[in-house]
Amino acid sequence: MTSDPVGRGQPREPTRPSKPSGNVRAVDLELVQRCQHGDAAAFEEVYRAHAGRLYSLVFRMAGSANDAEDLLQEIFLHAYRKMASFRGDSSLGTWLYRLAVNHCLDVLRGRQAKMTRVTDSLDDEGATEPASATPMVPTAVSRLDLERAIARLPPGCRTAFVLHDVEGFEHNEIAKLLGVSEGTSKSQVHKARMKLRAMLSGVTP
Amino acid sequence: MTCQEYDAYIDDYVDEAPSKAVLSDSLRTECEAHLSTCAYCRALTTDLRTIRNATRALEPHVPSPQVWYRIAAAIEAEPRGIVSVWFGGWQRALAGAVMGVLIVTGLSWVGSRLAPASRDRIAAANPFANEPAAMDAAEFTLVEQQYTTAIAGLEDITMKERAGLDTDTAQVLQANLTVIDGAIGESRAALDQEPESTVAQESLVEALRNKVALLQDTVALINATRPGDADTITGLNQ
Repeated sequence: MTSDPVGRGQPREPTRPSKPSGNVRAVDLELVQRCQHGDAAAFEEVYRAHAGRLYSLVFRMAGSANDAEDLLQEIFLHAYRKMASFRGDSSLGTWLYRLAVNHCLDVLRGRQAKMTRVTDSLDDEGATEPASATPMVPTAVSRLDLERAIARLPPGCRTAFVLHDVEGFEHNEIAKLLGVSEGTSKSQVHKARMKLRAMLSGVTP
Repeated sequence: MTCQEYDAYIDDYVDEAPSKAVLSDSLRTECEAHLSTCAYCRALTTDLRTIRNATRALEPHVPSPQVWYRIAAAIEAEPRGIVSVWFGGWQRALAGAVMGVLIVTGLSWVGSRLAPASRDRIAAANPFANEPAAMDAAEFTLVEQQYTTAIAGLEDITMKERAGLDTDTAQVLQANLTVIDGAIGESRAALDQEPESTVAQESLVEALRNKVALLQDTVALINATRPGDADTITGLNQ
């Protein structure tokens, strides 16, 4: 992948790594060097600093806690093995975040081996829309209900939705990440929102 | 603008924010004109905005402490010649043995308090399963009581021994417990409103199960880092 959507650091969402300053890069490089020299405490420091944000990402992309913990483990092992390739062009957080997104997408694609693209799976699926001229979603959506509804989304549109609405990627960035058109990204996010509306309104999609 | 035309812009309209103009001024004006006359599109827009705002306010998830142990153990096994830096010989043996024994013991301890039929029910109540089975009120009360008893036992151990944890770890554990307790509270509140709700039952069982797992991890961590154990092993090695 040639794009670097995370590294652009548009501060649209708080969960998204921001563009690193020179000092941050120096600190990151020193930390990475310590990891490369076998400093266990340094790698644990990396884990403690970034595991929370990455876990939230993979939890929502994978849709279950068990899968998310397995993915998080794989991501940090992958990062450990690739530490030597970290050059400090972006912050360590950005580097890890990109690695996590790509790993999740690889795994999700692997699970949908019969399909050529992650998002193709939903092209024929329409969301069941509650036919109402008045708002049907409760004005105060509980976190629990929303998390559960997101987990129930089909993987394809869940990926686009999490990247756009939770992680704050723009559609052109998601298009590059997923290898789809910008229009497909938009339609997947729309489908996800409509399905969430149906689920949160009590209409089974 | 017709409903069909508005449909092409609804997501961009929902994504608009004071700091972020997605639509042109003229399109935004057209959308607003349509919304002023169409109750259906207005309701849909309100719902999508509600979902969007709730999504932005989602709290982060926290991985269980065991994930780090698994990562450290896997790295330790990496053929890079730095194994001894991660864990010393006896520490490695101790950590592995203690974790293994405690996890098995903890699971058995909790498992022994759950009747086989109840365990099947809990498995069936997996919130990520497609068609979870509903428990009747008596079964659910029994399962909840069993989890509550297990949690009380583990909390008792944790409260007595938590001084052995470093401040950062204790804070992380407390933060996790707070999140889980919040989920338990939400689930119980939902059950109070709808006692027969399968979704609320599943949520409560899941939250209780998470709390048991976290407390088990905490007890394991306390035991693995207890100085007395290290001294004992050191003594045995000498």
